[in-house]
Amino acid sequence: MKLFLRQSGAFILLFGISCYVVFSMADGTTDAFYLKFTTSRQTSLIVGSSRAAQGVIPSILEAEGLDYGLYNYGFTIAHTAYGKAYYESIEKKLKKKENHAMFLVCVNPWTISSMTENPEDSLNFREHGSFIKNTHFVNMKPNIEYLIESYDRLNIDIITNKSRKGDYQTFFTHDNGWLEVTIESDMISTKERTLNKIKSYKEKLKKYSGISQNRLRYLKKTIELLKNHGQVFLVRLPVNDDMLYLEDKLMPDFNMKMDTLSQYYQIQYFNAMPFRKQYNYTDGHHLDIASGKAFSKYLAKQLKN
Amino acid sequence: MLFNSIDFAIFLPIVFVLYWFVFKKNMKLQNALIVVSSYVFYGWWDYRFLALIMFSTFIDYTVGQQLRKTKHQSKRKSLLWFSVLVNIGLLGFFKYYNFFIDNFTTAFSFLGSEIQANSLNIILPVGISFYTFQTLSYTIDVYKRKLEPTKDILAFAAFVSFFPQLVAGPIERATNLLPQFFKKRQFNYSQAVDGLRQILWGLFKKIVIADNCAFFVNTIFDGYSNYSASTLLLGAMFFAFQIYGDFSGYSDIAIGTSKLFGFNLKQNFAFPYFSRNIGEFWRRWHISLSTWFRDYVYVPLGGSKGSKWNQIRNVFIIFLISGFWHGANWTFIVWGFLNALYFLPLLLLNKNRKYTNVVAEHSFLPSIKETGMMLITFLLTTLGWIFFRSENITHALDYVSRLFNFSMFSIPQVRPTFLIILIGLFLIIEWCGRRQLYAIEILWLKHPKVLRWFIYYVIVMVIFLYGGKEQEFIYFQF
Repeated sequence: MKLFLRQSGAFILLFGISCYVVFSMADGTTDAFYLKFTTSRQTSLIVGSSRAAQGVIPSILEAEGLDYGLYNYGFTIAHTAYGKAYYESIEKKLKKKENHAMFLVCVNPWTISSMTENPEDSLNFREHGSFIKNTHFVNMKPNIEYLIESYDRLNIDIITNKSRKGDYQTFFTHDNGWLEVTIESDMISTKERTLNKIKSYKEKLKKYSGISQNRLRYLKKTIELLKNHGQVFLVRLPVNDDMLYLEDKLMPDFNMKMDTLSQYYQIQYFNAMPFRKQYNYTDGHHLDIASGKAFSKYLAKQLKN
Repeated sequence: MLFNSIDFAIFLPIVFVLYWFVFKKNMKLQNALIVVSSYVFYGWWDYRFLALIMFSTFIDYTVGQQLRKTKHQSKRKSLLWFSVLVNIGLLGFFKYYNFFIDNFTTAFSFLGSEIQANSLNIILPVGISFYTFQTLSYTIDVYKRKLEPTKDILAFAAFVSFFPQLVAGPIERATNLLPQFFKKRQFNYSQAVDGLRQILWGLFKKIVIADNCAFFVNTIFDGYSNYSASTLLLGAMFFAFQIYGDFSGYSDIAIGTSKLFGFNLKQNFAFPYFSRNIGEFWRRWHISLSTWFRDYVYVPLGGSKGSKWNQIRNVFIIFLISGFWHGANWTFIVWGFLNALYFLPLLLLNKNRKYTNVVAEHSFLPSIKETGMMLITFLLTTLGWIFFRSENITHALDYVSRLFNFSMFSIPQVRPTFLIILIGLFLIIEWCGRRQLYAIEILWLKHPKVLRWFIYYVIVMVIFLYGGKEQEFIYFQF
């Protein structure tokens, strides 16, 4: 028995060490989200969906003089529409009791709507089965919890993705949380992607049942939470005309709602939609890298004023 | 609790330590620990259905006691029927109620009369088909006086709920497993190491082969109308490996885990994809269920005795019941029917028991004829698996019809190279170990310890690096 236990123990230890070594190799190439759960608690945050994750670049904001150390904690609409799960995750990521802090709360109609038949059926919000709900430790490196519970690729990809960067690998998460997406930017590919994206959102629109009071409540709670620690700004990123048309159909009074929130909480609302034609999009609603930089520059100037 | 979960990885060592260190001196305490841990294992999934296992245990234990006391044949028969009706009744209610209601309603509506019948929102208790058959085998064997009924309710409860094989088999016979609960267990190093090796191979089959196949199978079966015939064939083949890896992997983990506690369970899979005809395939696939049906249904019906018509009838009955056992869906019944059809020529030509040995028993490679026969058998079973996997008959028929066109000669649209390589390696290892109870039973045992450990380490790391995402075992739903 002793021999059996000794040998099994040694084998398990060897296996455990090997797993740890592989997990330690995980970085910004692992997937689009992992790195965001490995950095320490942050004083200043950018929150929102994939538009924010790709379109608001902390390093540009900083270069333009916003020295708040903003960290991009945006994910995707499937995970971080405003709700209990995202609120709790933001709360965990936030380094509290800081006065010199800034928060960019990126909003659009999808972030306060729901695909559930009953928009208040928060138990069935689609983020509930996802990593944003299941990742309890948001500042652990390597984040073994995330890699075991939520990483939806093969573990071998942790190693192989490193060498694929910029080739098959189209995304890279930077240390400041910015998600850099490098995809073909020729006219034909962009047009095709945009058509497909608009088509898929047209389909999605049928499933959305309008505003969710529950999500709106959590957006308010998020603002209240962040407001206790610094300046909060509501930001609506630009999209192309077709996507804007769909968003207006989903929630025609979205800007009015945001204006109301802005007045109530005494915070500023930046709606970049009127300037949408100045930017290029990878698929109709995500800014491409150059436009993301230009938009971040513009945003920094607005925030400084 | 799933074998391929962190929960089980914590649960197993705890039970192991308690079993061999805390309770090692008392067999009854060890049995009690098995019962408690089995209930925890099962309750982890849904504790409400524990009552069902306890009820089934109580009924068959009591019937066993009554059978001991009763000499009158008619009373003995009544007791047997009581047990059969209760067990099959529970199974029928939880598994087949909605199926029958829906089909009756449809049948009546075809005849022009609308009847109102409400289907119920019934959750199928995990493993009910398995433990029901296990307890039934006990009562039938006691009735047939093949087995002395046990007075020890704790040992009997442990036999019914033994956690390694509780939810997906192998369906153990009381004659094999029950007596082991009365033997003093001594820790055996070789048996335990053998158990770990079998668990390792089971995990490889489940996590690397089955779970990775599952991803592509789901993609192809869900969007089958968008794919070429060659892709659909590949999808069906992936499902053949998924179900084999999933179920035989589970059986290996179950048998290996039992060995850690000093128990020996029966072999459940004997390399079925190396079969030369369907008869051989069914002697090698889910052996514990096939033999259960053989002993408790086929033989009482007359088996292979009597006229050819009777034999054909018995074969069809057995395959149809077997199909229906898998699930309350016409797809399973058609799958059973299809296998009976495959079997029919062998029965008519008296060739159903032609291949009882291992293929290429005395050589490393099979002959061309053997290779061809294995390939044909594999393709036939793969065709059957399409029905098994499909949502309904229309889905299955449409899938099959799309297989027969010129796009069969095109390159498949889905080509997961890594998975095809892994399946290739898997088949090589299975082929090398085909004479054993499981592929790596004695493989590499002659090599130096360091090299052997290195190979086990490689397998473990392949499981870790190439393991698909945690999926439930397919047979849990049966």
